[in-house]
Amino acid sequence: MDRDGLRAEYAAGLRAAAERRFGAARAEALAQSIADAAGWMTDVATFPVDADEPPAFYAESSA
Amino acid sequence: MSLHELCAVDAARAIRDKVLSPVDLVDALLERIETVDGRVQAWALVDRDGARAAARQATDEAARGVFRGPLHGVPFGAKDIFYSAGLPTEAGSKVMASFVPDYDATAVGRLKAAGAILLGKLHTTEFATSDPAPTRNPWNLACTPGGSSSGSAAAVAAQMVPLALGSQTIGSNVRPASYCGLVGLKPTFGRISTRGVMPLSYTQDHVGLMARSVEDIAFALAVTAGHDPDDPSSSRAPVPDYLAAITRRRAPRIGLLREFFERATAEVADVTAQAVNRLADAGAGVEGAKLPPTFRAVPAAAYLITRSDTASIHAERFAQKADLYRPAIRSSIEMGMLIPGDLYVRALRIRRQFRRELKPLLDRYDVLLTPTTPAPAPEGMATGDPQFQVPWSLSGLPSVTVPCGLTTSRLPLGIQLVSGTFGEAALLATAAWCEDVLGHAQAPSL
Repeated sequence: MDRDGLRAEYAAGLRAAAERRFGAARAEALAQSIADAAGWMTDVATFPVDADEPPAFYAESSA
Repeated sequence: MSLHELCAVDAARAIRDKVLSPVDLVDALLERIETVDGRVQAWALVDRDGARAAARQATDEAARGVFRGPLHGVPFGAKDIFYSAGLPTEAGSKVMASFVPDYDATAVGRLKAAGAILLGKLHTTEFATSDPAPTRNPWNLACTPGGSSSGSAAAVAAQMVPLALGSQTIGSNVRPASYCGLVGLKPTFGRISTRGVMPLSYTQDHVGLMARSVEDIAFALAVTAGHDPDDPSSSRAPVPDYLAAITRRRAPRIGLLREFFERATAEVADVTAQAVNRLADAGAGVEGAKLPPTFRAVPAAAYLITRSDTASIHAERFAQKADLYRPAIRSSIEMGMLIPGDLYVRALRIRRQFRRELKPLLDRYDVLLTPTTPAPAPEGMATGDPQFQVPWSLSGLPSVTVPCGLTTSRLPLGIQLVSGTFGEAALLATAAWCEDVLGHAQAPSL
C-alpha cells in the first residue's frame, strides 16, 4: 500500500476507534488531531528501522 | 544598577561579600513584580511571606558567616508543575485546582539546599502542553513568550527573578528562553531528577534551566544535577565541575546544520548566519554538517511517544475529570489512547536508531549549531513552533540556547548548540565562549 493509502487507512481506523470510545461528537472534534496522528503513524510505520534495533531503555541514560 | 538587574552569580557573590542582603534582594524583586507583572503575568503564585522569611534567615546566616551553598540568598522561580511543599501546584489546570504537595521536587529541594530562595510558582501551559498560559513576552506584550515554560522565561527576561526552573518534553524550555532573549539549557535526559515534576512523557521529560547568563546556568546545573534514587530515570553518570569547565573557554569546532537554516524565515537565517560569521571570525572552526536519514522520522516518533505517554499518565484523572481539561491536552490524551502499541514501540526503536546514527556527527564536532527557532516569537497566544527542539528532546541530548541578536522588530533570536550525551561541561564552555563573542543577554524595556 502506498503512503497516502496507508494514511487514509490509519485515519479511518482512528476515526472509528474515537467514535467507539468517545462518541461521535468527540470524534468529529478530533478530526484535525486524527489527521495529524495518521500522518505520524504513517511516517513511523514506513520508516526503515534496522531489524536488530531494540527500543531505548532507561539504563541508557547513563551510557 | 538596580538590584533586580543582578544575575544570580553576581547576587550570590555580593551576598557572600556581605555587600548585599538577601532581604534587600527579595524586597527589590517583589517590588519589581509589583511594577511589571500586571502586564507580563508570569507568576501563578508569589510566595511573599515565605520568601521574606527565607530571606531573613539567609541574611542572619550570612551575618554569622554561614552560607548554605553557592546560591545562598538568591531567589528563583519554579514552573508550576514542580512540586513545592506547602504551596499550591496547579499545572495551569482546573484538574489540579488547590493541589498542595507535601514535598519539594528534587530540583526545587536541591536549589533550596544550595541556599536559593523560592520566590513563587510560574505560569505554565496546561500540564506543560499547548493550552496557553496568560503570560506575555516582555519584549513585546502582543507576542507569546513561548511555552510551555511561559512564566519561567518571561519572569527571568523581565528581571523579576534571576533564575527559573522550566521543563522540556518537546520544545518547552529552550524555545521560550530564546523567544525571551535568555540562556536556556535542556540537559541530557536523566541529568536532573524529574521527581516531583508533573510528568508528560516518561522518556522525554527533562528539567530545564533559564537565566540571563551561561555562568548562572552553570551554577544552577552544578547544584541540581546528579543521581536521585527516587527517580527511576535519573542517571548515575558522574557530575563534572561545571563551574571549572566554563573557565576553559576556547574556540570550538562547530557543525552547522544547514537543514534548520533552510526551514527558518529569511530574517532568522540571516541573523543567525551573521552570528556564525562572528564566531568564525573569532576563531571557531565552522563546517556544514548533515543529520542522518532517521532525522525525517523524528517528529513523528516524538509525537507518538509523547501522546501515548501522556494518555497513560492521565488515564485515571481523565476518566473522572475529562471535562475539566482544556482542548489541546484533552485531544492529546484522547489520541494517545488510540495509538497502536506496535507503532509506539517502533517509535522507540526509531529514537534509539537516531541516537546511534548521531554519534559519529557528535564525535566530529564540539557542538552542532542551529537557529534556536524557525521564527521569532509569534503574536497572539499560540506558543510557537517547537520543531527545532524536537530532535534533542527525543534523543535526550543536551542543548542550550544563547542570544544572538534581535529582529528588525526587536524580538530576540538565539543560536541553539547541541552536544553528546552528558556533554554539558563542554557544551556550557562553548556556550560561554559564544556569549563572549556575541554579547550577553539584553533586557527588554518595560
